[in-house]
Amino acid sequence: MDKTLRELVSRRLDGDLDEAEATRLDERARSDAELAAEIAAGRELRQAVAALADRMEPPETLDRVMDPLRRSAPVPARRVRPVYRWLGAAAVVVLGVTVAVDVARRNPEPTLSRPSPQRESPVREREEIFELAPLPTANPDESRPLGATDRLLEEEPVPPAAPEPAPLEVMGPLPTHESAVVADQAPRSSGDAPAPDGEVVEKTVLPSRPAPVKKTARAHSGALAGTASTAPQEARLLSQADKDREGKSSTPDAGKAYRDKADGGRQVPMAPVVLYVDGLAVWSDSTGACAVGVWPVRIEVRDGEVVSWEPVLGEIGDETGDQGEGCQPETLVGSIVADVGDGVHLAEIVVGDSSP
Amino acid sequence: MVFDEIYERFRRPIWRLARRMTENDEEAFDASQEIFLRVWRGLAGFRGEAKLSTWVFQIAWNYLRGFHRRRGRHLKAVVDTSEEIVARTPDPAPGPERRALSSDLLDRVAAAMDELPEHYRIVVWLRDGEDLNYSEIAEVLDVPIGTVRSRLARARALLKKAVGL
Repeated sequence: MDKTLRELVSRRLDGDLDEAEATRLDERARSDAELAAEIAAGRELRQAVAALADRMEPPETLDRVMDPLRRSAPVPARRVRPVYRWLGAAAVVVLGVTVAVDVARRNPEPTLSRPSPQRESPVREREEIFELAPLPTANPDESRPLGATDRLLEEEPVPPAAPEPAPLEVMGPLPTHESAVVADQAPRSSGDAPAPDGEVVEKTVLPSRPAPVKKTARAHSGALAGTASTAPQEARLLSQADKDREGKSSTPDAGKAYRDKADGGRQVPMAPVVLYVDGLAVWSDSTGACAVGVWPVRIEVRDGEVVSWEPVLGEIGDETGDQGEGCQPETLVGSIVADVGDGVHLAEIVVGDSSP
Repeated sequence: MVFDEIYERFRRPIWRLARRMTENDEEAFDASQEIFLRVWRGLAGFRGEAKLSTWVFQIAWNYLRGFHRRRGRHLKAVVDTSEEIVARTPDPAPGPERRALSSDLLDRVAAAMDELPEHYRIVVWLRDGEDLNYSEIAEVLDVPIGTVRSRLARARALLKKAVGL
């Protein structure tokens, strides 16, 4: 029998159905023999249980055992006056607050919110990458606290043959904010006197200004921490850098010829390379082929991803005569750059020195 | 109300309930004493917020619930099928005489009751043995009234099948 119908029958036997429900069930029982039998059996069972109860008598010994209790007065309940009840509650509250304040004073920093060392480790690793050691240099001008772009544009002239903002015109009109970026860079570079080739690397080495690098590294870490989509890319890049350090890179000898010649014969085993846009580090990698220095480039960003890049003042590693063979950070194309809008941007590739 | 009056009124219901739930006279005797002792102790605090019968049966159920577990006896399995109950219940007498409320039928009902799981047995007994209504049973057992309805229907179905009605 259906569970619902069975419960209706049970309630019908107990008089728990209202009049309409009981009438409907009785009418159905007149045409349903099974239902009628169910109701009759249930009624018989109820009578049997009631009869079973009627024939059960407690033993006389129970009365005798209970006799002392029957003749004694009940234990009076201890009534507590309301005022004392409130005083008790207030005392409990005061005690609780006192304990809470004492605990908070002894333990000012909640331990649960403190980040674990494992969570901090990626940030620390990233900071270590950007903490560049100072390079030995004979030029005191390098210690001047100028921005990388400013120093480059003040001291190093734009080669006459190097492409100026002309490529921007080829690519079509830029949005307003991107034009402002270009305009901010162009006048300063055009008014400077040219300098001989070959001094760019020597005079634009990064470690001479550790403070700004540290600052941008922190900003870079913060930007990465706040951008979930960038983290996998960073992890991939760092993983690739680790492989490179272990000599497992698919192109271990890339730029070897350049390294032999660059920077007066000084090789850069695996140096950090960072892409800066508007002074903010937006991408990083390791390189074994790029010379230490600051290299202005023009990048095109679409949907937060670098789709193309080109050097502004000639190929990176130009001064060594290794155009196109040495420093070619191919992984830059397709990389996700945090907080950089779509369009064409003037940027800097800064290659640090990882030598001790 | 003095304890003597309460005892006179509930000595039979409490004994029957204790006997039904403990399944033997000796344990029912001990259980009845303990229940009445608890009633005596709690009488001074009884303020009439609940019906007296509900209050007394609550005390009884709170003591009898899990009685077998406390005594270290093997718990009855909570079976939803009636086959095991039927197997442990005497065979119903064939013929039309089994329709009558004979002693044989009562024995079979009693045996089937003892085989019911505790939470089914108590609702059948409070309803059909002690004539408590659904609301009172719900209050005694501290369950929703819908639970009382469903358990009662299920318990009666198990009993009917076990007894052979």
